[in-house]
Amino acid sequence: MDKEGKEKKDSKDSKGSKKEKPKGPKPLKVKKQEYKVWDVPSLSVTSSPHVHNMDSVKKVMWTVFIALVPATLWGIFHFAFDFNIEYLSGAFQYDYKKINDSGLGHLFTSSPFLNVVVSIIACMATEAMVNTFRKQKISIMDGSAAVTGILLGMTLPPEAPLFIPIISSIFTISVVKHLFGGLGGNFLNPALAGRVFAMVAWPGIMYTQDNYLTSVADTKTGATALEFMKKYIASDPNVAGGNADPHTVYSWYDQLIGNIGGSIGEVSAILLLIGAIYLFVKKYITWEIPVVYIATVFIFTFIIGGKETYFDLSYALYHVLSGGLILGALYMATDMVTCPLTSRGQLIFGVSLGLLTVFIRVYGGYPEGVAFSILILNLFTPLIDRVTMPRIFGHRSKKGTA
Amino acid sequence: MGEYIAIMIAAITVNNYVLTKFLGLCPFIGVSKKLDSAIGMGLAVTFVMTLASFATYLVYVFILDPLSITYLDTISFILIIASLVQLVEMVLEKFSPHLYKALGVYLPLITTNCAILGVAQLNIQLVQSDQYAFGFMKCLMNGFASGAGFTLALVLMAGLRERLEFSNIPAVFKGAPVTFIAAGLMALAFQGFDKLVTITVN
Repeated sequence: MDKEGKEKKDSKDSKGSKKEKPKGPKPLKVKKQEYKVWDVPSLSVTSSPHVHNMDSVKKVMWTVFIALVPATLWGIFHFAFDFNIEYLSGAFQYDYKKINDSGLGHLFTSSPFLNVVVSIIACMATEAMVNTFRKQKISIMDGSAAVTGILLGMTLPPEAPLFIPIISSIFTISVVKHLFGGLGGNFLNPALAGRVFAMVAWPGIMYTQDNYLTSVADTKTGATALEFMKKYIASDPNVAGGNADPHTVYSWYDQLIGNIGGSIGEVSAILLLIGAIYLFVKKYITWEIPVVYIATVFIFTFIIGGKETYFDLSYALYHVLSGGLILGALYMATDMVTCPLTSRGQLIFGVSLGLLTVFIRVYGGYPEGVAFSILILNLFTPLIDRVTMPRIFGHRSKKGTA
Repeated sequence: MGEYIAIMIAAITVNNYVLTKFLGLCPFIGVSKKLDSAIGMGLAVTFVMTLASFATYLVYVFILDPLSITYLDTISFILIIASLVQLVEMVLEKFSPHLYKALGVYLPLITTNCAILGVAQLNIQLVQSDQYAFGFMKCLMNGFASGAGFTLALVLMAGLRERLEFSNIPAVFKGAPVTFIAAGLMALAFQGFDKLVTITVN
């Protein structure tokens, strides 16, 4: 071996020493020949990523937008015409009088429709305005502002006056998103920040405290299902609908289909699930956060139970299906910008979200805890990312570092 | 035991000194640039808050109240906290150089932290109001938990600021302004803890 090696080295050295000075650029010629031999003229050497899947921000955002449309449409029809689907028979129910009087045109002047449309338009307009101020390329067509707008509109109560979507949209796009660097720079979910801003600023409008549920058909002015439950648990005598058990008023079927009161886009759990499955198939959302989040809420509420009972299955189902849990868990907690990056981090994120949501819903001052708990956990995201960072290959832990 | 847990939760989340009372903002903005220094500052504040609750309670109950000069509480608390911090610094330097090094420059800085005076005052108010049978141990617990809440806010802010360093913030907002706005948004999120536990004095 040694001899061969030496011989080779010698030969190389001798060659090199002989032909070094007169023929400097020879290696280049050799390379060109190699290209010709292997026939890979287009081979380019770049850093990672090497594999592209043709997904762009634009495509992802508009896909999310489309996934949200069915649930939003349900909410608009449900609240504009008292549109319901009956259990077992599957018969449609709606307010004949409204349609007969003003036709379908009533839809376009109804408050839920205007709320959603106005918040989408206001978000996109604010985005364009901020882009102009910051002398950037106008980025409304990438869809991120539209998704923020539709999500914000979906979380508003159906009878909200129109200044709420407008002011919330301006706040959320300009302060929450663009002040921190635009798309990808925000540390809070913009839609939820707008929703919580409205909730803190106008609590009387966002939670209609006076109009309690009078009949199942009159869901528009009724309390949200969760508020109803909270008053029932607290045995509040001011409940106008009497002391009816919320479980009997809202069956699991009503909650799944969306025959209940609530925010515009959160009522129809089944349509939200269908949209999310579409996104999951497209691999735009991962399973960890929604599944763990909903499972935690289910298990926790199952254990603590409703009024004076433990291990109450119907209470747990009520908590999972009503309110903003499905919408928040599937579309807001999974926001790519503000959720943890690693799978382990997302599991931690989901469990903490579930616990916090139930704490706020059951023990806190607000009937709904999804929005707040997602915002609070968004604050923890950088820390979770830091803790669950995968170790670099060859990493050795140092002692003594804080 | 349940009361102590309630005090703890209230001081960390519902009545968080930085995010709901807006006290102690100078160290909150000043020392939240890096996570390590934020943790150091948080530990130092927790340490001093607990000590301050201890000392001010004793001074109030055994000196100010019997002599009926409770109107001097603010000025005496300022003196007590400032001298206490200096004393602690000297003692730590001699007896535990490691801890002294870890707390570093933050210990003398805390002398002027209004959150500490706030905790001392709130403790005394709670003792006076007689609402929750606030005694010595509960004051200590409140001081410690308030410090923990301060640490939590500081650590969260440090995490956010490390993230914000790489984002494209408009030039006029860079530095302190964007930090204050981020603190406002954090306070918005912390609104969710509202009425989780109610320990307030009015």
